[in-house]
Amino acid sequence: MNPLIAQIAAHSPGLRDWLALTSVIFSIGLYGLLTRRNAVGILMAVELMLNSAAMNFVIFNRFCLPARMDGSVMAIFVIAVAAAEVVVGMAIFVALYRYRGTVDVNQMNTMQDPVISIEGPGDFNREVMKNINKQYKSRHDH
Amino acid sequence: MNLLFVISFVCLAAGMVGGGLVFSFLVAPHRPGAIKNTPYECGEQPIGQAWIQFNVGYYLFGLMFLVFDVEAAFLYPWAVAFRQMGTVGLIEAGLFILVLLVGLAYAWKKGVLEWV
Amino acid sequence: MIASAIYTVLFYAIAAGTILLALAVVNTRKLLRAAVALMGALSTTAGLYAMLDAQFLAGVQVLVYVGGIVVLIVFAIMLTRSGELLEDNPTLKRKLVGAVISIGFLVSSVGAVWGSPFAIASAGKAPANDALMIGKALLDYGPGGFVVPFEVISLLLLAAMLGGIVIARKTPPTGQPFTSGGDLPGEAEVYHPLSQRDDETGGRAS
Repeated sequence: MNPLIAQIAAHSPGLRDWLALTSVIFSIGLYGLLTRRNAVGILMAVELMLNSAAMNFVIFNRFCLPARMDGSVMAIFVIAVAAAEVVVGMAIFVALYRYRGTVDVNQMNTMQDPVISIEGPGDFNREVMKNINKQYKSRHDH
Repeated sequence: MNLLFVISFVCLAAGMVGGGLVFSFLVAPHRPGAIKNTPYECGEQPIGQAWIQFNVGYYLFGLMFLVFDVEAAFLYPWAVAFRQMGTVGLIEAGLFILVLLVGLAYAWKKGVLEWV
Repeated sequence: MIASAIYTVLFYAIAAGTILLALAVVNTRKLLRAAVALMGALSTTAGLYAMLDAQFLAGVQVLVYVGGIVVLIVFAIMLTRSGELLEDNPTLKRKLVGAVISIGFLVSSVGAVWGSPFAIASAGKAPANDALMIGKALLDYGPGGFVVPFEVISLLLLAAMLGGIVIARKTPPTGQPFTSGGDLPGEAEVYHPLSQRDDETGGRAS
């Protein structure tokens, strides 16, 4: 037998190689999650992460319990949950775009509290109420 | 030799597609023009940009399609195991379909299935 | 022997393709191209499922992910006009933080995987008819069966469908010619910042 073929066959991927592959894909998804600004792009990164996590179930099923199909069943559940997540998430982005005119997550700061220094819970509530009143007034003045 | 078949098929397919592209790139005359670069709209003159905002109806149809796509993915193994699961499997899958039919009825009543 | 060698070559080729396509998903500045790269990454994942003896799952991956989810993402890109805008290149600080966190996660998880013992079954022979096995497992109501998650998934899909319809289907902004909803009497009077801004500028002009 050709020694090169024997050499290649000796490096047949084991459980750890498969898991390393899914870790790499998950990390790439994590990077996209942290660097993307468009909400749709963030959701695509989340899809990559979900996909690699579902593949982990199948890998463990194949290597540790090959006679049963539990990992495949779990992976199908993960795919169904991903579909439901995309349906609702994209609906939210479509509605958000209609309302705000953008899906840039850096501009989604209406729930952010502008108060920087907070002494205690009472001060916090007072500041928040003052802020809300100010915004309400500025919106209804003209 | 199942895998040998797979890898030879992959190589053959890539070779055919890549070979066709490379061959036409090498042989074909290359004379670009402004009219040749316009998108082909069945012979009509294209008006405006391709990036218009699309009707939300597309999204709603895609949503319905995806949900029933997942349903089909779940019902296929039931159909394969139908003879061995018998009546119990029929009841379980019937419940599954019934729950999703509620959503279909809601969408129908709300007019999602009508193209406006 | 030769089958094992081919399996190895296929694994590394498909894994490299998947990683390259995943990198394209997170780094392309045009979102539509990222969506196409995502479609490719999910397709190669279907190939990896087939290599793991999960043929039915590979089919489901193509059917649901490539045929459904990516299409919906493309629709959402069209609807939010994300495709025509170039995504801002993330700042160096943001890139650096993302790279440090993701590489840190990668190193720690791969280290954990390589350092821990696994109960690997020696005689790994997958069942021949995996769709039949999955069907039995899904409908089995005894111990080890998945009938309750199976029914709960239908409820989840129902909730997602109703939620998606309710959220996405509202009065369209002024100037959009098409509508697919807005049949509720109160829907037209919903406060809408874009339409109000149009009114203000129109009043000032006249």
